[in-house]
Amino acid sequence: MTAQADYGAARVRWIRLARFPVGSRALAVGLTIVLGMALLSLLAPWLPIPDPLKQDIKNRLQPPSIGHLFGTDNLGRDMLSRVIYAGQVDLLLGFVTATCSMVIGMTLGAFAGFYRGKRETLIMRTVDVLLALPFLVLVISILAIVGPGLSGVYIGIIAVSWVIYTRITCAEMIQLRERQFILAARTLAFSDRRIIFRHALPNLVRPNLAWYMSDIVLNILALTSLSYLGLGVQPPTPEWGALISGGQTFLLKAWWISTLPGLVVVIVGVGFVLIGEWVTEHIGGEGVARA
Amino acid sequence: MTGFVARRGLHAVPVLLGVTLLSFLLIRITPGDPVALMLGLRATPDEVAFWHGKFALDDPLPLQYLAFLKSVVTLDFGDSIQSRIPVTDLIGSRIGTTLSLMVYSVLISITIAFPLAIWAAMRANRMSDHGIKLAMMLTFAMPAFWVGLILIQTFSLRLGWFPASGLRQGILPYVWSLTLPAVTIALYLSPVLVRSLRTTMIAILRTDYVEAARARGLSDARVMRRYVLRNSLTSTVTMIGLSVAGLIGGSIVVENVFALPGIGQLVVQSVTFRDFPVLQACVLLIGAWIILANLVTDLVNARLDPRTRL
Repeated sequence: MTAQADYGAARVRWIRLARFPVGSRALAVGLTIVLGMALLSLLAPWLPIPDPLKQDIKNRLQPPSIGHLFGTDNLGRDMLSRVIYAGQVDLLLGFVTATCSMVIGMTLGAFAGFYRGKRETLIMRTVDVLLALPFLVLVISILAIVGPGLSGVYIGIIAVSWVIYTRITCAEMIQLRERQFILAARTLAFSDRRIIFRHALPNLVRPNLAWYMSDIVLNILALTSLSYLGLGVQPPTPEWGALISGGQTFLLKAWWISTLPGLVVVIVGVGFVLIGEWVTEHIGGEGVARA
Repeated sequence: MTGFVARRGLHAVPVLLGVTLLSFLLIRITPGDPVALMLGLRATPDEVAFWHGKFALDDPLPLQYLAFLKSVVTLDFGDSIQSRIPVTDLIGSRIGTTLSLMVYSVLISITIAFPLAIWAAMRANRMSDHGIKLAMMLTFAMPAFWVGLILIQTFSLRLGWFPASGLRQGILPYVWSLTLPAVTIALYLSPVLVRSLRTTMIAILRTDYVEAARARGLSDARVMRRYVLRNSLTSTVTMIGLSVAGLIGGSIVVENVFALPGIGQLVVQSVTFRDFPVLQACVLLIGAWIILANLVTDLVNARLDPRTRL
């Protein structure tokens, strides 16, 4: 295959990405859910909803109604407002941790795949060891060191979830380094750093995108689980997992406190997965199937 | 076969060593003195001295690691900071719960997945494909603890069929109290199993030997039993082996929802109380567990299908 043909193939795919895909209902639904939730939580201070921390003991444990669409909790706080404000914490964590992990993971993977040899062995064996343990176990172990709380969760997730990106990127890089345009860049005596960052990495984003979408969901789920276990966000800050956990004592008396925030998590998660499915189909890579 | 076992066993050694290194480094990368962090303010000088000696903190790093490896080989991790019980005993008393939970979840998943996969493979059309995709999407996005709480709400609190938490004595009550937790985990495992089994079965249904069997006039049921199911066995074993990591990860959350005294609950407690000896041993145990599961998977497959021994 000539370099020119390669270039043409890559170009066609990017054009397809740029044009909005008419007829892709799944993507439209996914984007609506994710962007809708992101907008809601970003604009929360200007929305006509009560303060998420304002207690109203007289109206405690009210079932969902017109005044309180998601009902109220045991301190009379409006659950809808709490769920929307919680979105700020959860979505931000999802985006930031997945993005940081992708940057770290891709850089390491590109180095491993570009240089091969000892560097590849060291990096990829570390990946093997980290993949040998469940994600949650690793994050929890790091929380033991840095201490529970939101910043600990950030550190823990980023420290662990780069591995999949590294694995994907390294495999791709090994193939990429033999391609004409990389060989040409080498012949031109460009520095390794320039070849890796300017020539190789932009081409390595594509296979990582589908996993990026799944990674956001997994990281949000990790935060909700950790908050549920008491190791993540501490009350009274609203966070989806903490909200679900807060309703545990009232499961029978007030089903809505735990059930509704959980539904929101599922819907947001499905939104990301739908986007990821579209990415897999149109851009390549693997998302949920890998998890 | 012996050669295969030896070769495959050797492959597991570097990862296993990596896991020991990881759980060793876990407390060494702590900012400041890990012993002070672990024991807090109520530490007596004797305790501090004991753990300094136990972790060999005053030696150079490689010697510390050797001391750690020695404690791994002799299974002597010292006493738990929180409960003052030897770590090995603590883990020994809890491992049964987690193991039964895992085995039970796998059994439930297989019971759900096999009929569904056969059905989906026999009518390999878009409907079954979409159904599986939807189920995978949903289970991927559902927080496990939330699913557990919904099950408790419905089947324990409202209907009163199952206990909401804890383990019961006696064989039947024990299994009964593990049912809801196992179902929670099975909800995650079965869509994955269905999908991979369906793909395998569809591939097998298209092979020449199935066609030959059909041409000889064998019934669908017989073809399914004797040819398709038998040949899909290895991929089932592989899937279950690969899911062990997920099962352990899931049991961490689920054991805490249902208050089951297993390893998962112990891990979370050890973090809450900064019980480093327990945490270290748990990480090591979980890593070894998963590596062993992968090893056993390969060996079982080699036994089932000679082709995989190559």
